[in-house]
Amino acid sequence: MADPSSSLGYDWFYGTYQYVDADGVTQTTHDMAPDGRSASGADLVSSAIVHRLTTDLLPLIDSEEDNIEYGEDVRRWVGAGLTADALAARAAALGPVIERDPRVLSSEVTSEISTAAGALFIFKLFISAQLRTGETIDRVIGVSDVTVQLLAEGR
Amino acid sequence: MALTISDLWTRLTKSELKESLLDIAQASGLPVRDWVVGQPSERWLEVIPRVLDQVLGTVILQAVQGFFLDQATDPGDPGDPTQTEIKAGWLSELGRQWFSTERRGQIFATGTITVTNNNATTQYLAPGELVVQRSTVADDGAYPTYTSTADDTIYTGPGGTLELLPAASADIPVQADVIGTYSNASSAQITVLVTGTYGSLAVTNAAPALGEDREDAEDYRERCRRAPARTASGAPTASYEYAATTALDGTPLQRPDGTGVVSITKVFVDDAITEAGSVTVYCADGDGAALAADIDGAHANITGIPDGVLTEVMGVVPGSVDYATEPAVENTINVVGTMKIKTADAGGLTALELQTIITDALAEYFRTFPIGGLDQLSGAGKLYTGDLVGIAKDARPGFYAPVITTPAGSSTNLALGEVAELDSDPSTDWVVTIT
Repeated sequence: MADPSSSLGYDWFYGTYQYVDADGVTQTTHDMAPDGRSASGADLVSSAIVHRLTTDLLPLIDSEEDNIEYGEDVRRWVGAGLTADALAARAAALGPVIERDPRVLSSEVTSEISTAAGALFIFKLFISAQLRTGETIDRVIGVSDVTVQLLAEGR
Repeated sequence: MALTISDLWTRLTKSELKESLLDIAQASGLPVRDWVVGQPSERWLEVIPRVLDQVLGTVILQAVQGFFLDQATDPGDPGDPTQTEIKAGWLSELGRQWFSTERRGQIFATGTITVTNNNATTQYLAPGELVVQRSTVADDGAYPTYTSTADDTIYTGPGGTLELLPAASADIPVQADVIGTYSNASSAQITVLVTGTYGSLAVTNAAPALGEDREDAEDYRERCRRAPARTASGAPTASYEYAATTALDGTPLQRPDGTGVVSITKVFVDDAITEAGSVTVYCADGDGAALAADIDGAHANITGIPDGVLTEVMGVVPGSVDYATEPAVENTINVVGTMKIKTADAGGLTALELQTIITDALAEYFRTFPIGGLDQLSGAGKLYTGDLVGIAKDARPGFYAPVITTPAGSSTNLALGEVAELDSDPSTDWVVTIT
């Protein structure tokens, strides 16, 4: 249950969301939940982290060039020549990107390239973030050229 | 809230719209000024002003401006809120439907080049396949190019080609690849062959290739203002002014020799000022006195006597009048002065660049300055030095301490039929001191 008094914020829920469509098939989407639910605290920050890892520039009135450097769209990393070492170096640089969120005190990101044939995701990112409230959140996201999906979460 | 008419055609910035939204939200009890950027609720504060800007700043603003000749613009005009691409829009539509007056559009530069075959073999040139280039660079650092155009009287060889024997020459028509005056070329400037498939060809142009930019918005508005006079009886002054620039069908007046549209933008009508029973129309363009071909076009259209390609002419001169069309008499006015600007306001520009900004502003002022000047008495008026000081100072924010030493007096007299022509060299007539 979302807590409106959370010091980390209270807002509409958005993020990886699963629902069963009219044909009875489970669909996964990264959006606001159709039931209009809310989120707060670490869940809200977690969604913001995924948002930040799928968005380079964010429009912001009065900012230079009408945009700010918000995050890094990791889907654009998918492509030929992405070695494990290159991916690891890029992933390590995501820590400061996530720390742009004023609710995040520190963050570390590691990576793993998928080796299995027919894998759904090209690589995974393992995110560990310490929040200003003292909580620690750990997230694993899978990345393909079209989607970023939250695969596991823990605190 | 009381709205003035100028409120309706003033575009609010996105920042102002957002600030207004935040104010209203706060007044409604919503604490809206401390969001984490990127959160869903914060994004709505970004989305709403942008949507309002698209609706208010383009659609509604244009619709309001479209009612007023002084405010309406076409895409590509200074201040147009939509886009920079030059095309017809509200202003052209307003002028066409309310004043039956067409705005002159951009025109491709066209001309004829002489091609000489320096190969040992016969070449077969096809229309549209020969590309040539101007030898002088344009302002953007590129070289304008031109492509050969079709002409059934020239391409009479096998397969619709032009058969060019070794050492033979032929004249073929070309058209610029970029519309407007960008591609204008003087004689002997189109000398570079781009197409490589014809081997060694020498090219040159004996006559200039000239295009046209779109008619200046304010020049067009002025023609529209004169338009109602064409239905008046008794040949009022405005009917002469309109006929000097605009054809019977509302389109820009053409030169009788077929070399393009007349470039007259300023007209003064001496209607019995100098002599009872006589009318003389003086014409000028943005640079000074009107060209002879432009005078011919204006004369034919005003008198109603067909000339060259002008077969459908207006004719506004009453039969009892002794009439003449004349180019305005140029009165060259040297403008010399000094200006100061703080380093912080100079924006890194050199003194010469700043001086050029001043002379460009003065040139724009002279471009529309009326024949005979201001405060006319019997067609003779003045050019005020104080006005020139103001134009120079306003040429760039931060300019201060303007001084104009020439003209020396407070004003310069212009006689009836005289047009002021600017003579002001940025490198020798102006000194800008960066302090």
